[in-house]
Amino acid sequence: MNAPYDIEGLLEEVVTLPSLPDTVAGIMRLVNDPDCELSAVAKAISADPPLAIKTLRLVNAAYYGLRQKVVTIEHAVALLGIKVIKNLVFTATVFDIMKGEVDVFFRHSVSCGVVSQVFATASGAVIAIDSVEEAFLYGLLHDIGKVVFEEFLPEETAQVAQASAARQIPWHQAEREIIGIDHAELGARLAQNWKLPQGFVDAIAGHHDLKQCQDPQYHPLAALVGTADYVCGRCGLGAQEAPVLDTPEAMWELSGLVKADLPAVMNKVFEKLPSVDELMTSVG
Amino acid sequence: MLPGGNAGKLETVAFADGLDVLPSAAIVDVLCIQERAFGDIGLAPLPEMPSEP
Repeated sequence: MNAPYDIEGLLEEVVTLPSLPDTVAGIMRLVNDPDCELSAVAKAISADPPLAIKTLRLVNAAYYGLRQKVVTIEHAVALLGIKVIKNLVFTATVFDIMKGEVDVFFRHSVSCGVVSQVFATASGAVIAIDSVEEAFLYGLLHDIGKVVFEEFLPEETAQVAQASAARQIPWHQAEREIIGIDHAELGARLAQNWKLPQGFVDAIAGHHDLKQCQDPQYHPLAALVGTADYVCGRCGLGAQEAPVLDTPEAMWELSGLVKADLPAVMNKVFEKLPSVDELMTSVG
Repeated sequence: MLPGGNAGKLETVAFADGLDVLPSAAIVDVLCIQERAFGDIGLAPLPEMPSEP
């Protein structure tokens, strides 16, 4: 077994974290400016035609339920508003990063986004997010650290798979034993590098262990993503073949989902899951 | 509702009276298995139920 890394050693010696494309980083800066104008956002997206096309295809996916077909970015921005467009641009970018991954991983990430959004709609907790649409992104990104491990540490990742299956231990526990850190810690660092808000960093860091959140105000958000991750595993939509351990009851309670409402909430999840494949192909 | 499913069936889950005492994970497990058993959703094989709630 290789000597375990700590995160600084790993980043110094082995891993180069992927950067956000310049145009996307620019759009993110723009939409975070309270004085930015809709036309400026539309112009920035349109200046990157592949990104504009992918964003439009997402906008028109049945998942978003628009009654009219949207054919221009200007129309999309005016119709949906800057917050939703920001989420869609970011979704299209993350989809691009994940498309090279094995199908089962991509499907898990998209499914977790869908379930996170359903849960955010149903949650009675104070979830520190801008909108329920944004919850999709938290679920989509929660396992992004695995993409980096797979690219830079393929042999260790294979060992993780073997250890997890042979000893029936959770994937992240096997990562910590074999690599020294887990995908949640690495993914949180990636979110920091991308200058995403602290909520993203903590939702990714804490989705298996709330103690890994830096700011307790994001515990409900991390709990919501952790429970969505669990539900995906139980629905046969896990990230890989690995044991799905029960999510602690405390995490369920923090997520703000009420037990008596779970049948209705799960009905919504079952209704939404068929849209996963459509979303996956929408930016192909 | 998933393809081939049976709309509305989950509202009639038999253990509804015990919802407040079952662990949430166990509730979800039963719902998932019920959906997949009756709804034919065509996903991966059913997961094993946990040995302890």
